[in-house]
Amino acid sequence: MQAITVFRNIVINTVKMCRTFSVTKLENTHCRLNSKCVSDQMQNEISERSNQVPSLEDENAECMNLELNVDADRKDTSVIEPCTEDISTFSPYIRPSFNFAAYINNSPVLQELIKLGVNLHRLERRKGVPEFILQMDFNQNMKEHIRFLHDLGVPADELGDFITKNPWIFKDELDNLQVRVNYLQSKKFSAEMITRVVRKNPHWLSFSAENIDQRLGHFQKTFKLNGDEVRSLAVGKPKLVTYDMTHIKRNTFSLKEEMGFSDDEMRSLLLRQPKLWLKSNKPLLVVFDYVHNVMKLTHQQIVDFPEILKSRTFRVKQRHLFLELLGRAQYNPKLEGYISPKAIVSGTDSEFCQAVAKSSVEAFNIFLKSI
Amino acid sequence: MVYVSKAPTVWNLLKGVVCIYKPAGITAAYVRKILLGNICRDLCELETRPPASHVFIEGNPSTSLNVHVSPSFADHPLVVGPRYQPDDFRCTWGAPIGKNISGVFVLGLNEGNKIVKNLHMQRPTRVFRLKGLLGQATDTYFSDGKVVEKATFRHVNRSKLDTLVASIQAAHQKQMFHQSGVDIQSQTAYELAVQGLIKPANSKIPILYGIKCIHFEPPNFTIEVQCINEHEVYLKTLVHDIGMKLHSVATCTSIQCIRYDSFTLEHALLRKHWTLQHLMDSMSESSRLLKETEADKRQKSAFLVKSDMSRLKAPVVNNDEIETLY
Repeated sequence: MQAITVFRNIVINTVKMCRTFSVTKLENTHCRLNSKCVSDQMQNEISERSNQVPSLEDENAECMNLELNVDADRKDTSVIEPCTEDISTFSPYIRPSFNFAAYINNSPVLQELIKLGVNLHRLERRKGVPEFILQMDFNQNMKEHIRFLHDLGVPADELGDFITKNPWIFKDELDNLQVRVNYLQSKKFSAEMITRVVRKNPHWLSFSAENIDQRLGHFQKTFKLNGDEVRSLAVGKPKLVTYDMTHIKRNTFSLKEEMGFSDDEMRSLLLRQPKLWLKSNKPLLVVFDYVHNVMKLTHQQIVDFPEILKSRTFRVKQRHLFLELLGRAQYNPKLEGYISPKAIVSGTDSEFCQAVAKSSVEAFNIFLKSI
Repeated sequence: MVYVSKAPTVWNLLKGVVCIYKPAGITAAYVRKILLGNICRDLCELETRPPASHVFIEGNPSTSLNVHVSPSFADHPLVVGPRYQPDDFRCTWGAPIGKNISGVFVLGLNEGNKIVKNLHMQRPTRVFRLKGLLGQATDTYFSDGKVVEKATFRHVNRSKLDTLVASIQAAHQKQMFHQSGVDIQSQTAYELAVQGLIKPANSKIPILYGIKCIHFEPPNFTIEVQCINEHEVYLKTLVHDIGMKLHSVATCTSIQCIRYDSFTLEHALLRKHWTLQHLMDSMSESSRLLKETEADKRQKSAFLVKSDMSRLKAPVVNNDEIETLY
């Protein structure tokens, strides 16, 4: 029974896609079908979108109607007589397809998106996006949004990337987007700050003002930040604000309870290295375990150089082991030959070997083949 | 020296065997994923083919029609995806390698898969360095497990360990003749035995050809084994068994493969060198190496080949060699 339902869904989707495309096709080629038919079809589609779950029988009936209309126009001529009228604009509907490539040579919308640099290949894998994009009209639904984004300060060469990341931006009304920008202005974000937020996080504008307010409030309350700090956090790492809150709470828990950072230390970490909250929980714990329990760095040292928690474990591990082999693994600033935790993780291998390990990269490579 | 900037030319050259240094802690499948991702990234940065042309006819059929040709949007990389994708490659390995093993790992790319498979079917020997820790045993036989037993190890010394590994080697040599697939009392068995070391007929039973302790500094020790048909768990339990036989307990802390057939650590590419240029170099190096050792002409017979026999004596990279470099 379940298999049948699945099959049915697929059929409905493909018919829908096919139909959506045929509207554009008719406009392009000035097809002889009367405009009533087209408008009927569009109305059907609109009502269909509101209904959301059309049955297969309805679909079939509509298709039949369309065919009847065509037949009605041509029934006065016999098939045996030579055809004198222009039928070159008639063509079969484009078949349902699994990607955009089948439609793009005939679709101005998709061509415009490509000119902007939108990566359709990535979009078509996302659920619901292909149907959404195919139902768009560039002039009606997209132009104003793109102008709005450009006015906000998103440069033309970043627009493609922006839309690739968040195609749903076209779903929101312009007024709503303006409200979200106004909210930021009311919270004393300057124009440059707003530009940076929107450029760095294409998803930001798709979140309602209340939602953003709630999220900023959560950071302010949990970490006891003042207004300026919240703003610098939002501008420094806009992705953090719209990220999955469960994940952020889990990492906050890990940093506080499992790793044992105090509230003040956590605030400092958040402001200096907000990326730690985006990192997956397990790698974060593993790298902390290595840094704290094997390299014996104190919490204070980690807070002073949070970059070390950001890097991957194998990178820290191989460089620490190399320093240990050379007898240079000395991380106490009060003693001679101090090496700062930041110096361990920054730079390429050759820079590290030259400046920190005072050895050659060849020796480092041979060492790497022994672990 | 020839410089190639066209991706299709490079793609045609991408067939052969690559030898890389697999880090411990990641699976072979993950290594493959990183490798193919890197190759595709580097290939797409080269000059790829332009989109195919799209021919279309426009105009009024009753007056005049025009034929237009333009680059097809349907073949644009933004629509159909990058020109080279990981799915386009065939890439497998012959000898399986466990997650916790680091070291030499040989993979085939495209047509190279056949070579790798044939090489594996000949069952070449592999050499491992096993690091052990005396005094504790874990539930997984490896250092990542939970410690389940502790024991003293003050009574263990170098000579006891050497005696033990020598007896293990002797037992395996005896086993080797039993596993040769012929009656041990027959003339054939005698003729096999006078030739030297032989391979087991069964491909499932591990055989150790050589095992020796190369470093002993209690509680840490390192042993080197030359073997056939081994697998990760077998090597871990070997260390565990050595601990038990020494009237103590031991855990394996690292397994490193230092040789597979004629591929050694010096041929292996480090993780930071898994780029197109280095992999191409590795491929030509491997094909030269396989040609020199006549990998394709090697035997179907039961004996170890000469190259294997000569290598059983000397370790591949000396620890002393590394230390002189610093």
